[in-house]
Amino acid sequence: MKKLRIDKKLLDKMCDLAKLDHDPGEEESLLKDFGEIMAMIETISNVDFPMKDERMIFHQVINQFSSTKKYECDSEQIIEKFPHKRDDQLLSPPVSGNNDE
Amino acid sequence: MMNRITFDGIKEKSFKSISKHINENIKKNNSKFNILIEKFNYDKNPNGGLLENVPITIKDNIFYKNHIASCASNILKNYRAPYSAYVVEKLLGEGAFIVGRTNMDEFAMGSSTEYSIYGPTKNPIDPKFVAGGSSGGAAASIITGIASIALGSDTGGSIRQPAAFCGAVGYKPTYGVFSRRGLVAFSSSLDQIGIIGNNVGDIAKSAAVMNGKDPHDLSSYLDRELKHLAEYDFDSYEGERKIIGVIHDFSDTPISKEIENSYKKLISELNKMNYEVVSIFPPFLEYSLPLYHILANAEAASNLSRYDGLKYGLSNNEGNYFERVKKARTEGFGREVKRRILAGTLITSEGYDIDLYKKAQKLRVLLKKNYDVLFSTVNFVLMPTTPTSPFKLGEKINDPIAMYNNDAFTTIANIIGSCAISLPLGTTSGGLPIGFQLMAAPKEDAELLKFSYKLMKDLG
Amino acid sequence: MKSKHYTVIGLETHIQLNTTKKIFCNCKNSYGAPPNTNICPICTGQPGTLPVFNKDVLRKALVFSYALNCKLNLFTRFDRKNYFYPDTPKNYQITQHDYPVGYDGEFYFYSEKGQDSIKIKSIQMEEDSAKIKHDAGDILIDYNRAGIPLLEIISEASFHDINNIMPYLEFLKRTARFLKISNCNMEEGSLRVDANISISTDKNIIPDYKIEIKNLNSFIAVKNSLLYEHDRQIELLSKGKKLHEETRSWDEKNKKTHLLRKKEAISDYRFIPEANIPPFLLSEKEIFALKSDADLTPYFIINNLVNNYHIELKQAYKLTAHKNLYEYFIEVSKYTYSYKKIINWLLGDVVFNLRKADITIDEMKLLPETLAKVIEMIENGELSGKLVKTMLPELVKGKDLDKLIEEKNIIIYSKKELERTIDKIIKDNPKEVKLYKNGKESILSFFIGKVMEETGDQGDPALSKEILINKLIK
Ligand SMILES: [Zn+2]
Repeated sequence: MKKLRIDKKLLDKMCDLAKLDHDPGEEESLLKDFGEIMAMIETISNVDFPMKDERMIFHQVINQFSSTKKYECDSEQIIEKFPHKRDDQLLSPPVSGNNDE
Repeated sequence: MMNRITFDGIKEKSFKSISKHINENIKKNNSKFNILIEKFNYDKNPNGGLLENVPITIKDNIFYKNHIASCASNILKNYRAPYSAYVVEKLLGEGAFIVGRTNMDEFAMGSSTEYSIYGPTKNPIDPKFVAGGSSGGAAASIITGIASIALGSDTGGSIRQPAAFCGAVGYKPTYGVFSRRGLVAFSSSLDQIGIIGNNVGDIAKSAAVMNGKDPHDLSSYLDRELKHLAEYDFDSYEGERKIIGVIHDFSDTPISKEIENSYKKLISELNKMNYEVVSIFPPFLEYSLPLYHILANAEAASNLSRYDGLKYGLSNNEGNYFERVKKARTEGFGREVKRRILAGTLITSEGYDIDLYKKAQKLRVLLKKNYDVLFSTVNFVLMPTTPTSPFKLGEKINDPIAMYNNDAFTTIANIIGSCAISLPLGTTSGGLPIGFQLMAAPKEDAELLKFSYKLMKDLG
Repeated sequence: MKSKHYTVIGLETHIQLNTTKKIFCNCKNSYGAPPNTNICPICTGQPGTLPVFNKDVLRKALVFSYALNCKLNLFTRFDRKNYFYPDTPKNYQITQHDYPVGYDGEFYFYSEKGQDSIKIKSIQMEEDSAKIKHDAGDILIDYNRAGIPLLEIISEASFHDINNIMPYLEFLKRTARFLKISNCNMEEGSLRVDANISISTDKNIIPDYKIEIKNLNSFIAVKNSLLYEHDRQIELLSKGKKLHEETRSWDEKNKKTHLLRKKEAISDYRFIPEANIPPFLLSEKEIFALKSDADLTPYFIINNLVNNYHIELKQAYKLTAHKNLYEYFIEVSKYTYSYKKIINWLLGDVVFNLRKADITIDEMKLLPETLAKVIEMIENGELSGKLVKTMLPELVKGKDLDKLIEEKNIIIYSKKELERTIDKIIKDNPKEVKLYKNGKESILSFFIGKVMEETGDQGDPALSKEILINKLIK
């Protein structure tokens, strides 16, 4: 199995995917921890077993559908939580500076 | 010891005297051990019922309508639950009342309740030590007599490990026994609400109330056997011919000498009392931890992506959408949460070896099959709950792998979706509690609870 | 020049299902409600919520998969597609990735010109995103649309001609409408298309990139954007430029595509199984029971019209443009065998008058049996087509046929009466009869004029001509 080097470039890429940032001062310890966690995780590559289909059913149930029960919570309660809003709509800044339209 | 509140103890008492007792215990213990994040303004529950006047604490990731549930995280610091958890509704429906919300590791990621924006919860037996986690506040609230039932969550041992560290009973049910509606998700295929209490009987009665098929959680199911425990006479249970599987060889899963000796002592006691004990090798136990971290982190990265500073919770006025999201998440999440999100993101991302996550899913299926086979030969598996006794505050906070090793024996139950219970069955030479875990096959919750009750009684 | 190029196009079509509830919660699935009124903790991504699956969505997805001749996955489940965007409440979309409900299908469709088919890669169930509105440099988000059920129909990238795309989309729309899966209203956004296009300069080489044009919400936009991209890419390729994977958007105003994201920034979706929805294990029997719901596709109907009603393909195609029109035809056909005549009248003057009066075929008051009667009367020469044309504006509004005939003072000339009149005319004009018999066929117009004179313009000219010829030859 191909193992990736946990370096700054990879860390930055993951941070971008996960929308996280870190202080430059934290970087070294974060890289170290990240590397150790991945090394621990990758020990499962030592398990040898036939790779059969993984159509797993770990649930105790299958084929479940919704009933007509509603949450006891109205739309106002949700709108109230919007940190920024306009005309009952959630306000978000544009996705990026230029080609958003 | 500390005026714990058992169901038997409150039977004849008035709400007034119970709440007075609780308030005294809060005053005495809360600032010392940092257990409750917030005490609610509670009153006598007019409902009455099976759990009349039973005081309950809820972990900070369980919803009680109009009360804050922050997951001990900056990002949800002021988030007010817009609805109640199914289990909370059930408990309130039977006369219980909610004392407050308990401290935890942020988003239930941790094993010491040190990763909390509210500071660590200390072990009520000795405040130099951790209470365990992530439901550390829940376990401590039982030991200090703040509640008789504490709701927590268990994704990889977060109920059983703190229960073991504090000397309480901690029950993690089969996946689906308790609806997860109103439990903030960490890892959806592993998460389960659980109960910490003083004794098996109290837990069983509460579990009977909390179980049900919730139309808002498709994985939930009604367990009739469990429901019957609401008014079951536990002393009438015989439980003969149940076979307990035990581990004799810990070379693949190292544990401390102290735990090992205590475990051996327990086994010999069981043998003396004519319990049927057989030696087993729990399949893939040494791989359960990495497997757990693959599954849990991958799901956590996805589950926690909804916290973007846009719809609710911590927000800001940063420039564009991505800048705002990044800032909210960077300020909102603590280090351990970030580490796990990053690991989960990497595991599932295209640049990474795609097979690892697929392999983990397949390994999970294989494990489940192996344990089905194991449980066709034994009724229960008895293991130490933790590989070591409680550790000191700060001892593992900067060593994630050492922290994760706490879960060496607990994650397997979450991976296969079965039930397990940690029972306080020993103490260290220093007087700290040691817990032992009894695990049963999925859907064998009622048997597990009945047998645990008998075991506790027999072992005095 | 153009034949040198090899164009490869694949379409991802999103159809909003017309269920009464959303896919994973109990909110109403409706269009046009005030912002954020059909919302709940689930569809706004509140913590602690779990999706609960609407069975109606599965039923419709299976029926549509049948209609597109897909194989059905007996084991099917949901996955999460992870990406951050303001319109995605949980910052992941619940969709299907590994085990979609339908796969490996072939969609047969008609155009006016003939039959065609395209391979379908998969059909998957998923949730719609919230609706985004741009407002003074900000984004306004309305969650009413979040969680409306979608079917995503992914075609194989096997379109090679942009002209084949419109018939495919049109027929997909008709099929969804006929099977009552969706109303496919493009103005309301219930049918949206993402198109992938790439071009190779060598027919034997499959292009090594693809460019996706996102969120096309009209057929014209699909066509124009693809034509634009086709030319743009060819121009770049002819200059020796190498093209790379990217996502673009269509600018309707300036008729151009704009770059949205380059490959490096195209999301890595990190699919994982959705653990909150237990997987589905469907039985053959259960699925088979739904097959009959997928029978009445426009494809089947057109085949039936052409083969059993002997109607031209072009007209059968037109008739199936709207389900109601087709159903009306079926009703009329119960009263008369003149199928072609029904279609001519229906697609011609009836539709024309409906449009003029601004009423729909549903609102039309002209009963199928009345239209059938009118057609039979024309056949029998009792009414002239010319006259019926003047009657239709009132008939479609519900005017009673008998009353209208009475009011217009129309003497119904049956064939017999017409024959009697013609006999009299022949008897009265022996000179002209002789001329005709001697070969002066143009004299026929003289007789027809006489018939019109006698009947006060009520006799059917065509029928009169027929009778006249018969009688004059004798
Ligand atoms: Zn909703």
